[in-house]
Amino acid sequence: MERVISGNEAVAYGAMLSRVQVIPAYPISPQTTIVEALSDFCASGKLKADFVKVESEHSAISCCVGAASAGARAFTATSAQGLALMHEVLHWAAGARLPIVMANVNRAMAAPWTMWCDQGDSLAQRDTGWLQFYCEDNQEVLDSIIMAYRISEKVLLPAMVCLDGFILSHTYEQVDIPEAGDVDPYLPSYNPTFKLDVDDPRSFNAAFLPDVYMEQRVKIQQAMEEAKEVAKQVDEEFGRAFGRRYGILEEYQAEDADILLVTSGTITGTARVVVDDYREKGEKVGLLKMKMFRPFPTGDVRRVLQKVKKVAVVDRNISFGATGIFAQEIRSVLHHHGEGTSVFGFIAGLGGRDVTPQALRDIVEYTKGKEAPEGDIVWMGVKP
Amino acid sequence: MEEKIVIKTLKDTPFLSVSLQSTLWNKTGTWRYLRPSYITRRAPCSKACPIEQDISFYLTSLADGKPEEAWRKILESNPFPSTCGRVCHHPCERECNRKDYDEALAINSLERFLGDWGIQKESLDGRGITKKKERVAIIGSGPAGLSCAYFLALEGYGVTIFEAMKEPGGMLRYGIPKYRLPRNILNQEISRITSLGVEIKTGKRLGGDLGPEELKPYAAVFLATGAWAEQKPKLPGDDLPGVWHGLSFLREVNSGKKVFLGKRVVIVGGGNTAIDSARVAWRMGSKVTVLYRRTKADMPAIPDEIEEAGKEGVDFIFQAAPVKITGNRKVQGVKYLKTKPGKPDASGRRSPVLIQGSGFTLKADSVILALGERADLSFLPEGMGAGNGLIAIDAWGRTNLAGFFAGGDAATGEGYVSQAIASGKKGAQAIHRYLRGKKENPDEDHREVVTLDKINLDYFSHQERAGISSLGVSQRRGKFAEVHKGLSPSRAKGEAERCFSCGNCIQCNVCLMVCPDVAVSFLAGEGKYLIDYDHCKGCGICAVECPRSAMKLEEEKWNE
Repeated sequence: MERVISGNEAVAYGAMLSRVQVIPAYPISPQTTIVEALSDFCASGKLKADFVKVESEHSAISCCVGAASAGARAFTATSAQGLALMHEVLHWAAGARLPIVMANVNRAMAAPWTMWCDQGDSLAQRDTGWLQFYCEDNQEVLDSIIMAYRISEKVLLPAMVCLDGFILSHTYEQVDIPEAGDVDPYLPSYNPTFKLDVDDPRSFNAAFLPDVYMEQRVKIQQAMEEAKEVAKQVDEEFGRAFGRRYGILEEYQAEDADILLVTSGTITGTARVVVDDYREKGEKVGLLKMKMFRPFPTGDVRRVLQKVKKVAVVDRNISFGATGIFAQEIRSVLHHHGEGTSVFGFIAGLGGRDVTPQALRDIVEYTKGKEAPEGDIVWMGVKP
Repeated sequence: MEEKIVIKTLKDTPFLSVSLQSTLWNKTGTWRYLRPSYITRRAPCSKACPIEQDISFYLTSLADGKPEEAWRKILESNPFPSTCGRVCHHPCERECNRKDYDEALAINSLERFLGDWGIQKESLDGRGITKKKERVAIIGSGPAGLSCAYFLALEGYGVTIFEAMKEPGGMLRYGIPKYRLPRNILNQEISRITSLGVEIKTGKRLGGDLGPEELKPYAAVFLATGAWAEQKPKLPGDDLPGVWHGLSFLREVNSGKKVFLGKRVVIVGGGNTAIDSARVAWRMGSKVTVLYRRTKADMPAIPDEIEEAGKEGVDFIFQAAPVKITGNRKVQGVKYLKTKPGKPDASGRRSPVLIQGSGFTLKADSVILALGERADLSFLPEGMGAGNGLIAIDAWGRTNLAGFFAGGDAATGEGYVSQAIASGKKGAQAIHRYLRGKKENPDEDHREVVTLDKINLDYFSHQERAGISSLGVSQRRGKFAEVHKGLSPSRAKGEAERCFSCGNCIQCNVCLMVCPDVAVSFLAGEGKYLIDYDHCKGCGICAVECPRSAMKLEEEKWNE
């Protein structure tokens, strides 16, 4: 069914089609309309799920942990400070191997107060053991929620589907909403090996002494590694079932590119236009869209980038005291593997500042004009 | 449990820290410092009820769609639900915890609903009651006498009631007007009592045609002769034709006698007899004015009755005391003086003081003096003690004569129907103990009363009290049709659902759901919860969350 819906509605439809069973959620802008839509779905009976009103995001994610521990498919959504408040429990969800899916509507962190978009909130949670996916448009948002459950429940790690605040969350686009009857065979119900059961009580997540804790961490890392391949299969099957594919990353006009832009989220859509413009002029500019950030698709990124001379990474985030986070990851991936590749790390669009086609052209021109960047960070559009 | 699991390889390492076997062996109950358990506390309505009815219990049954269970529960403690549901002063509602949340439960209307439901659908019979050989005589068939007879009959005693009037019911029949208590309702409630084998001999007046000889065969006697002697303070002109006394007036009207009052009637008094007289006179077509020497708030009559009288067009003149009834050969008016509050009397109320020179005369064709009633003790058996104008009784209801008990207005002076019923019930219990040779005092209910702060309001939402509809004023004149209508079954159920069930478990499952140790289970067969003390850690969440304070937490006494 084709409908014009907002990114937040796409999230809600994705959750409904995934037949989530427990939805503990706490409203925060710009995520709120997800919670509203889901509570409407539950109230009207369209979605048979327990909608739990909670008193904070910490409770929301804790309630997800409880629900998932009991074997239910749990879903929540949040933004910025809300995600930060969940931090402690994010680690728990991953360590307890609970396949919770959460939508994070990317919003810049306060202080000062801001409601607008950047990736500072979700990227700050990169080490918690959650899978992370960044979406380009509303269709991808809906599809990614469904796929996230498939991946998560296979590798038993929680997943975060990220969408840019306002730019997607509150913008209406045409979206093909799959039929429930088509999604059900694609995403069967969740039946974990271990779950809380009053008739068969067990102790969960009791202390591991130093002699085994480390092995358990290795298992999480192995699951992360496995997730890359699982995500590819899940994407392929999704393509067969619904006719749409995203990959874990996407190369666009990248084959013979001299300069390759690396983007994530909605900047990708703008970058496609800019790349097309350069190609029309005969200039070899290409694009690498990063959909999956955790696990970081090291091998695939390395394969694409090591044959490119100049890589211009556009980060809508900053790790204070270091650089843009995607740039960090890419430099690390290329270390010893891409000595001929020069990585330019641009930071743009923090706190909702528009990243326009001109901004991306400026990035390309800067990269064209220099052998190497002047520093680890090149700030774009900062007032003189 | 003894075997230690050794993990040697990465492959052997489980992906999740989870025990391989059940953890039930781990008796975490030993960690407990506080012990939760279930307790039935007392609801404030029950404590306020003179009959101590288990209101919360029967409202829960009604809310659960079990009116028969509710009706049977009422009949365990009150033989007159339909009557009380109409004429009780319902102190239960004044104490209802819900009143400080939104509005008190409409307990009185619900009692009427259940009583009327029972009249239509159910009956009692004495089958299953083991008969005892003793017979008990009861003097007076008012609410106290009938109540005493009912509870004695339930215990298996043979009961004979001697009634001076032509028909049984006492004040219910000869005092209370029909628009408050339709006689078919009263008759049916009385016939439910006689259906248990209670015999009523009417036209037998103690001291008159009922002598001591006739009482000899009875193992015990209960005196419930009521308060029929009217207070008649001297007032100039009170011997004029057209001057009535309230109770006599009501008795005449309720006996079906023709009474002629004339166009203008002045009632003197502020109690229920005064208001009943006023509303009866108004129905008979007169213009009615009530004179009361204190303020409206001081009136002892039931507030709703005062309200309805006002709606009907009865005029009130407060702080006004009659000093003379004027007239020549018949009543022509009442002269009164305004009053002001004076010094407090023995009861703490401020006695009204006449304001000289404030005189005013109301024209009147009839005057009804309703200045209070007391017990007529002229016919008491020889040697029976009395005091303060009442038959003297002890806490059990015993008089000073062995085998003689007393209750109701003649012994308590209390005045409300429900109090008379309670007194009759107490008398029956005392006679039972006396005849069975029991010496110990009856059990007193010392259970803690639940206050609003003990109710977990998070579990309730505001809901409007079920109002009742009434006959329009224009339809009341000239007739004695019942004024208030009853609740419909659906409204009654909805209203019963508002009950907090203070201190009473209604199996709402909150304790079961909140227990983090899954240590609470429900025994469907027994209809109660079981706490698994082997695993209850005593966190106390169940007791704190209980919406209605039906759980308690006590320090665990491991060493005892």
